[in-house]
Amino acid sequence: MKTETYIRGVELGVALASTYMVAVTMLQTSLYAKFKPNVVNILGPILISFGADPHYVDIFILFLVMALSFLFWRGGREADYGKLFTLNMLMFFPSVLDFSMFNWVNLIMPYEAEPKVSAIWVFGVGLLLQTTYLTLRYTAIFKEVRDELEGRGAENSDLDKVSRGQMGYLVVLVISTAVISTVVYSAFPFIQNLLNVELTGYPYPHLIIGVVGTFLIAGATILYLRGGGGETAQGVASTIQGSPD
Amino acid sequence: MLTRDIQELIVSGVTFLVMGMFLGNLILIVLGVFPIVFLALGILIGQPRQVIIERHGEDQKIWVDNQVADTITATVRGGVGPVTFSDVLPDSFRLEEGTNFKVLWKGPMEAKETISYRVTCAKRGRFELDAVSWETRHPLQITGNQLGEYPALRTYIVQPKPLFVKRVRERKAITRVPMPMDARIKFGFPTTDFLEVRDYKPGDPYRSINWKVTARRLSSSPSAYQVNEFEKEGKKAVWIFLDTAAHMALGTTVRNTLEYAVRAALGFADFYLNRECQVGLCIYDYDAHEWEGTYQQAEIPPGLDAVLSIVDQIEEPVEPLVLPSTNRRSPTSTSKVIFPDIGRKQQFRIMREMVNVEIKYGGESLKEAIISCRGHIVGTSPLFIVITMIDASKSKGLFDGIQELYKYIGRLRRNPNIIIFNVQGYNVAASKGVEDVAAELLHYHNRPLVMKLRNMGATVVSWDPNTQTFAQALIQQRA
Repeated sequence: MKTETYIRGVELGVALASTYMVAVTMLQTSLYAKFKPNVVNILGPILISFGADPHYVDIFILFLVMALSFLFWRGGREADYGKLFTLNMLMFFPSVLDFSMFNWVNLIMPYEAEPKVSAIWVFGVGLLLQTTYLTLRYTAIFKEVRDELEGRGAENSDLDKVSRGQMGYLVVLVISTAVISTVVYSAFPFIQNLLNVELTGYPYPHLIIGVVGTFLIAGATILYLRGGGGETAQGVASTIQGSPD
Repeated sequence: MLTRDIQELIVSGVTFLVMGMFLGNLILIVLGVFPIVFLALGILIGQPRQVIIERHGEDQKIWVDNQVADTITATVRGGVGPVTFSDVLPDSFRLEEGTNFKVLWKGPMEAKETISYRVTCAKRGRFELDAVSWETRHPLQITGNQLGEYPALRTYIVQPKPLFVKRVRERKAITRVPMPMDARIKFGFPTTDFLEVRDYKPGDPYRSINWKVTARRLSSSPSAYQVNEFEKEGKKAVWIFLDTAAHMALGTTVRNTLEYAVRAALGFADFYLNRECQVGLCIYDYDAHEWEGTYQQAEIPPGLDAVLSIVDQIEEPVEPLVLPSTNRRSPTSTSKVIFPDIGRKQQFRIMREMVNVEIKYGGESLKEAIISCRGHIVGTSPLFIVITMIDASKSKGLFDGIQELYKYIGRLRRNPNIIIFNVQGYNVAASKGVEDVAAELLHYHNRPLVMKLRNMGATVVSWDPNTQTFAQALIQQRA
């Protein structure tokens, strides 16, 4: 199989799988259940015009989003993948709200979360979404790199090796990140207990600590990434001077 | 350095984290950590850090249009990612076989890749390939590409092919153009080679009077005594003046007027050197600023050591002296001259200089160049060959130069001692039928100028490299 076809196949697989999983999850949320009568009212006439039963609105939505997902994949550009990610996140949000500590929806209207899926299921779907987002984002970059190198006169066999290597690297990185995230998620109840002991009696509410913590993480990440670049440049500088070892 | 894509990922991660905080949602918080962990791992397993290049070929001296081959091995260490390396070739090199650019995937283990190529060198010159360029990339472009060069020196000296003229076979085509009949050394001893019979001049020895010829002439009409003139010991001298002004660049990089002019200069040099002539070369630039002050000796005559040091090479640029009378720089400061000499050594010197000639190589106008060489011209009455492209809009400098040359031509002016070798640059530059017509029109426009030059006594030889060989151009010009 041609490497480009293989990459496109992977893209299609992750795009359809993530959209399907997130749509199925959304259809099982309390928020969707609350608004389903309205959805039937809106989409019912369309279904009837096609000769279908309005009660099949769930399947209709599933097919609709899958078709959209396919169209975005067919577009193949980074902007199209951004739209796919937005669509997936819109469907994912109602399901993740069901597992929030604060019921913000209840402030707007009477709402009690009664999810039909477990938290680990939703977390798994979330991981799939992030994986899809990163995979599609980087496969688009792989294509750009491939085109650029091809334009510079690289041979196709070499380009195939590079593309396969990049895909392998991406898969390893995504799986490693998913494993680490799962470990963090699983370990969180224990960390929560430890933090509760440490932070009890702290004069500031947890929200402020959380926001400060978030920005610290972001800042530390940027510093880490910049520091990593500097280390690489030093290695290169020694090579430029022609000292092999 | 962080790329824009990475900043977007960080922003998306932080957004998840903040939303998770506000909603008290552990899933969103961990999903926010996901891109950050992803980036951190990406940095941890960074791009390749060390590229070592080894070149296997060797330095070569070749002729124009010959081929050279080279092999390069790259060893990549550290990190993971695509690596490219390329041996950047001069514009005038044409890749015939293999590749000078390679992309390879560097996995967890050390990677080694070899490339080979064969190129045709289409233009003369000295080409030094200093280094092999390389580029390493992060597999996901998380960090910027690293560019570098690894020193791997390779030198190619591409010599121009002289346009050889062996001899003219066609009797009808015998011309006075090629040989410097009048050229002689001023202070040489007379040899036994008879040159001519001429009128007696005060100072001529009585024993040189040819009484037979004198008597024969006196029997018909009154005339002066006739004396025998013999060739002086020494070599006939030829001076080649090569124009390197901007208009000589007409044409493409590989095929332009200057290239043909250089080949013509080498052809002339080869022709005359093979006939035991002394050949000197002077490179000038028509567009160079012309000195308007008086000309006077600007440097102390060199001693013997200095003279010997310039035997093998063209004169080193001399630090210009300031003339006390005018407080301006000496016009001899940028001379590009090879003084007349004979033999293969001189041929080699001229060839070596021609390898380096490029547009604006000479730093003096024609008149200034002649004045720079006058110490070696005076008294020798040599043959002057000016290789240029005649342009109606640029004629003053040429006329000034020819007038200056006339000062050094001996009293025997019946033979042409100045050849203006006109390389028809418009024809060289023309690539389509319409352009050929335009080139012809421009040459027609130059005809009054050519006529004027001929009236001054110069021989104008026009050469269209597209339709004529060098020898044909010389044959067609009958004096």
